[in-house]
Amino acid sequence: MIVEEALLAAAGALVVLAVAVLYRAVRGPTMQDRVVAVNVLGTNTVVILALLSAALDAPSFLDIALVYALLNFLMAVAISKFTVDRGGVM
Amino acid sequence: MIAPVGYALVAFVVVAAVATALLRDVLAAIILFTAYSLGMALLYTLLLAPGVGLTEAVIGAGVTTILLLLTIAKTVRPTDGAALERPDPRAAVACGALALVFGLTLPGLPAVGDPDSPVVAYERVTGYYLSQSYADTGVENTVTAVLAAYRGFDTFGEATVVFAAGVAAMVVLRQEVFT
Amino acid sequence: MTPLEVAVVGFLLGGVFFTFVTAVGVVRLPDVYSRAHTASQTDTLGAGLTLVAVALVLGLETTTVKTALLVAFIFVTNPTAAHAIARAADEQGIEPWREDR
Repeated sequence: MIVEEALLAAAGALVVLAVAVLYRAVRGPTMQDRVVAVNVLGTNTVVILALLSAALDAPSFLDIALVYALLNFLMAVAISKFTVDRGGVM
Repeated sequence: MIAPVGYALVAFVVVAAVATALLRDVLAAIILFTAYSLGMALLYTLLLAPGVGLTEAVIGAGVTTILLLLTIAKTVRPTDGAALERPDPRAAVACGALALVFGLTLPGLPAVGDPDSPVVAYERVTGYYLSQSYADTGVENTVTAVLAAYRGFDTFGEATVVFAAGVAAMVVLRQEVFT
Repeated sequence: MTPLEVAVVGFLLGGVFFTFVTAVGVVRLPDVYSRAHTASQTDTLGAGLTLVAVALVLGLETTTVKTALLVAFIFVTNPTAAHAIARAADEQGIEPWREDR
């Protein structure tokens, strides 16, 4: 019982921290700052999904976490490549 | 303990959505939209619809980002310095009023898992799916069973449409930027 | 509390602490390179410790392999992404922050 509470509390704390990181994603100033922030948010999402999976006893959530762990990487690389290739996009 | 996580997620999603709407730089808005989609996927999963969460993960964070990046390769950046959009006051009031009206309907919704909610009270339909979906389909999650098994042909049709759209987009974009 | 519960809560506290450090760093540090450096903390210690706690809760099952896979994916993909971001920033000519300027 205490384990479930601890897992959910950790998930809640991570969501609150995600809101704080969102400040950097909104503020910028450079595009890379935003991508760094969203990358942190993506890793946070993966961890929160794993925590929810353990807390709610739903093993299928781990599959979503796996998909996200791979997609998150795709987004960061795509935007980095895009900003370099286009130049001037900042 | 689940409710506070849900409220924090809703706050996260609202902040990300408002930022996406207000940011003037299109690329920044796309990055913020990815954050929004992360929050929505978590919310769907928290509401025990992992199939929808998975779709949101793939569509929101993967496909949409790439498609929008390809789109803004054809657009221009705003030249003046302001980072945020200055919304038309009347439009802002209209959007706020609409959000308020939708928000006012929220207390009318039954609580999650409420046994008296109309969906559960109609035992004939809901009860059948809740009790029989595992025996019928072998899928453990009822939401996923309805989406992928009972509505299987419908979802298959949607997948065909999405596949055709993807092929068409690739044909159109073949000689464009990312080659 | 059993020893397992103590271990789980300890790992969770460690993971949340390092994610907190990352959040503070991403918000407060002065330029994109230093923010990228603190962001990798959430990938290694933050996610690593938290996923160890999840693996402890799940116990010895086939699903636990997925948490190990998650850690492996995060450890491989996120440094690559961080490298791509920092390199993109460098190629755009973003100067690293210095104290004397």
